[in-house]
Amino acid sequence: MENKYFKTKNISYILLALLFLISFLLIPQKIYSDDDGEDEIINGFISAIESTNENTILSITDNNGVIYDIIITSDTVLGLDNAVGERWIDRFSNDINESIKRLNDQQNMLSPITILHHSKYAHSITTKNSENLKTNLNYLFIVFALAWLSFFGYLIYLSRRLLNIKEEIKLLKSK
Amino acid sequence: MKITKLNFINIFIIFTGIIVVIDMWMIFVWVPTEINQGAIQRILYLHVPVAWGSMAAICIVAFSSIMYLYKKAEKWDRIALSAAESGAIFGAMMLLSGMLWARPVWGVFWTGEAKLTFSLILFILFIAYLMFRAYFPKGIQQKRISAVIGIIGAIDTPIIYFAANLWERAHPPLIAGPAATSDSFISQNIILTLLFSVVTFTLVLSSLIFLRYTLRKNEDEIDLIIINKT
Repeated sequence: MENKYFKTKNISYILLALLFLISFLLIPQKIYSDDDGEDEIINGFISAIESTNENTILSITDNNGVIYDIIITSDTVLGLDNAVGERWIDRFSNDINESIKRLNDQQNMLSPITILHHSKYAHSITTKNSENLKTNLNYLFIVFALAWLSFFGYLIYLSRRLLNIKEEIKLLKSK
Repeated sequence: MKITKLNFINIFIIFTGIIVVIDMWMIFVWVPTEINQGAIQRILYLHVPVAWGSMAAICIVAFSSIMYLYKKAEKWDRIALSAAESGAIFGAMMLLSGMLWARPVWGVFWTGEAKLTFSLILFILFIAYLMFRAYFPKGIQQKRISAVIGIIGAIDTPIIYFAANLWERAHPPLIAGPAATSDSFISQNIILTLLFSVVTFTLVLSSLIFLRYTLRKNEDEIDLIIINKT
């Protein structure tokens, strides 16, 4: 019993030591990043998207006409709404082609974009998150439900009437 | 002979049903979601084919009406009536699906632009034709006048087709046919699904017309039996 207690105590010491070690490894990085200045925000429209083999550069024009060139990194997070308010969130590196396609759409729609960057390296690129985040599936459901109800309703109505009329013909002929 | 014809209709309806299931699978599972409009764009796989169906129906009405006036054969009048009834349902679905698509995309259910107005006129023409058939006393006069209404109604079809190009407004431009704009680009999956839906709804329209035609023929038979008996 005592031996077991001793073992647990040892493990906790080891864990504590590891925690300290990790903290020491992380803290200098944090200090370094704080020294380099704070994250900045740019609001504007995408005026150009330039893709090279090394990186993708986004040109943003703000309300005063100032153009900023922002570099998209593999860790840049995108949160973009489409025309009907469906939001798409992903990391740039997960699907580069899709990300560029989505950014091109934002450029074509002249959507206001907010970029959080650090020394021109983008952390996040977002459009205004629509208040109405509906996917409009209710409209889709209503349209298809109405269509098939009316088509099948009419089909059933015609089939029943046809059967009744056939019976009526039989009766009339037999009389 | 009658049994063979009925079987043909049944087989045709079952075949149409199978095609409808495949079409629904393509619309909701196979085709990818369009990037700008999202899921709501799938309404267009129904809206475009029913719009095509309603225009095809009025053309069938007009052609059959011309044939009726020329040949005086009852079958042409039956085809015209059957196409008008089915066309009215397709017309109603064209307007409803368009309105329910427009609400989230345009922000309004309806705009007064030419394409939409002429589509509404087409639906009203179908209703006018059917109302005339329902309320005017039965006979040759009724069939002749309704044939004329049907022929006049078909004039609306080319106007609807070219309206998006003639009066450019909110309605998307044409993507297929002789008046389609050359710079319109659609992915292959989307265009394939759209074309398959057009074929599917053409089959649905044909099934409804076939069934309504058979019903009308039987109704005429009853009239004939009653006349003969009296």
